[in-house]
Amino acid sequence: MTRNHRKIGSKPLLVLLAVALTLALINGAGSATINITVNPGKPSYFIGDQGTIWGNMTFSAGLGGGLIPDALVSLEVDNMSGVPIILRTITTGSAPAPSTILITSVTSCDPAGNPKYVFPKQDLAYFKVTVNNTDTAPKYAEITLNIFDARNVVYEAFTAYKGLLVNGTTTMLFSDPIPQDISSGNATAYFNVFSALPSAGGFAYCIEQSTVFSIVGTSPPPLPTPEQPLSGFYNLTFLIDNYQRTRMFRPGNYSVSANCKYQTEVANATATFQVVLRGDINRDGIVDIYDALLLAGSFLKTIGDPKYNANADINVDGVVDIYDAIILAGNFGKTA
Amino acid sequence: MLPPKVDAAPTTMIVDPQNSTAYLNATFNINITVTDVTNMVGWQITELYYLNSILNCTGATEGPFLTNLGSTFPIFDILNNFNSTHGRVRAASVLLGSGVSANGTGVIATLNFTAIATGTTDATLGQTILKDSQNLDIPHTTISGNATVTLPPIQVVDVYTQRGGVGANVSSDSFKPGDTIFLNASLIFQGAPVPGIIVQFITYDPHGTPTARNSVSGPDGVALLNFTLPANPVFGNYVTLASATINGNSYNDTVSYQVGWLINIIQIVLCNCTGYAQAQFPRGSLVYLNITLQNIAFSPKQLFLHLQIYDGSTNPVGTDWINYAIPAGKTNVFMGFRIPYWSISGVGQIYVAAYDKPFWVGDYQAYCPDNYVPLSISGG
Repeated sequence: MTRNHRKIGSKPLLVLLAVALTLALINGAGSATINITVNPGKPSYFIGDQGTIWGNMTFSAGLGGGLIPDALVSLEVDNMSGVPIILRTITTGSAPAPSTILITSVTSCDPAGNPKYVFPKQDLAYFKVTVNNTDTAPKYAEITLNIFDARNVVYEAFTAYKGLLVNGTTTMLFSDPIPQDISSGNATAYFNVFSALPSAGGFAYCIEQSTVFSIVGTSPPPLPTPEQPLSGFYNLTFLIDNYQRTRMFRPGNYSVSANCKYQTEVANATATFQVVLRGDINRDGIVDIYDALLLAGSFLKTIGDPKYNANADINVDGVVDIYDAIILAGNFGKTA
Repeated sequence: MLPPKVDAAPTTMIVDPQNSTAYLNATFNINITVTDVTNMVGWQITELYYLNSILNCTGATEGPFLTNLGSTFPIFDILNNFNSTHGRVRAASVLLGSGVSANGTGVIATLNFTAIATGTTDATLGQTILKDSQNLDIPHTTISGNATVTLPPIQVVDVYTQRGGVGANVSSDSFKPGDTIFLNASLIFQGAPVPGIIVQFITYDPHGTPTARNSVSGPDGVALLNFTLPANPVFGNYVTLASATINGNSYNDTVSYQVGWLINIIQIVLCNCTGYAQAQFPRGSLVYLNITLQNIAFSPKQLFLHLQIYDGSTNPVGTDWINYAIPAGKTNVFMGFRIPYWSISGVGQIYVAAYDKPFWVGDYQAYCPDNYVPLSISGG
């Protein structure tokens, strides 16, 4: 889960060579001076769980190994097809020094860019983002949009723009459809400007900017506020749900990329986690009789018993029992 | 009998031309060329240095050597004030995809410079890297160059337009259909304006077809002539030759200029998020547009690029736009959007329009005709 600063240009594939070239240009070579860790809260989540990704940034042992309290971590979570579903940046405490590229404003709006905050479902929401490049040279950038609904479930993630950001101000507007089956209430759209996506070795040029907009309907009860991480640490929480339309969190394996450029040093780390349909013991994407048979085969077996099936211990209490059977029964027939 | 063994020529990366010359305040280009290479898929110029008291690097573009083979991933990093004496250019590009590689000799990058002071500067290639398809370094040597900036020669005849071209055979900025081009021919002999001289202006269109007209220099020594481009002129490079005879000697000068849409939407390609062309998209999926734009003006232009997306029943289902200063030359804009789940399947359209300002501001003008691409939406 932990990896430190890497040498440039060691990737065998062509696309990765591109990334290596990018990093070589931007960073040059150097010895390892910073480290990053990334951890999924747990290796396996059920649909409906609250997910967490956390980690820390530290100086290398040679520099004392202390926590870095003002780093900017770029996070990407990809699904099993390699498609990003979370694209965010999180600080490890205080804000890092401003860079030459800044997102100066993000607004939900109408097609002409006039502020607008309320959007019905099954309609287009519009977002205007303004980016300023104070460097005289154009910079390659990828601007990403990541939207979480009122329950903190991600329903949109994609790269809205790729190309050069010229010196001065660039304003863009993006439309995005609001699915029918997401939660009403206040949603949040996050915009980031990356040198490349974190999974490709890129990093954020600046702190992400967000705008809150209202998706009309009855607001659900507010979620508890996530605990504030210690300085030097970062964390990101989100609800793992699987709306029929967006299908962001289907059961399967997910990869996490965490990158950080701190001053002139780059560090990255990766992690994985799994999303499982509750009751899908054989992980075939459907809760059916085959899962029930597996549970029966492990019934009343506890950890350490050769017949104990950890997948059948759905509530993870160390024993496969009636409580697990009830969960399986409640999800019987559900598919991924 | 076996043919005699011929050793392959060594691979080099060279500054081309190796000895550039430019007049003060003029713009000029330096190419970086790779010669006699085999199986190359990527290159990197870790550093190219020049005296920033003499040259200012204003831009850089990738050459055709790799781009002719497919999509590439170019990166340029220009730092004119790298330190108190030198500017630095860093650049790299790699060919995306597999199965193709570059062989032979070709231009990998073109650097644009403005001569800001007289003198000579080296254009020094530092570390460079060439990569083959196995991601191995290709051994090569480098040959640096230099550039000399001098004062322009004293011009007897100097023809230019209202958009520049002052100096011997210097280009003017571009014109669009319907523009009126004001030609000025300045006659200065032995330091004094020469009035009352007939100046012949011959303008050659891109097909080489000449149009000749005359004008007489005024008290300030300047002969004036103007003409208005039609609504549908021949697009391309025009050259005007101005000639005059003073004291029995013939003198002349040329000015060239591009005529076309100042900004043109050259190509729209629908693709997936990795940039590969894709023809059909299910409802709810992400669509990416790789839009190739060309700005034929010398300088960046403010551009409001508007995308309107229609589904199979011509319902509007999306709008994206970008408002920024588009640099001179070719630019690729890569924008993404999601097809709404409620779209009607069938063949829709994506219209892309280029304006000088947002149309709700008023008094806006289109840079060029709209371009569009069909969007095939399937059920999903």
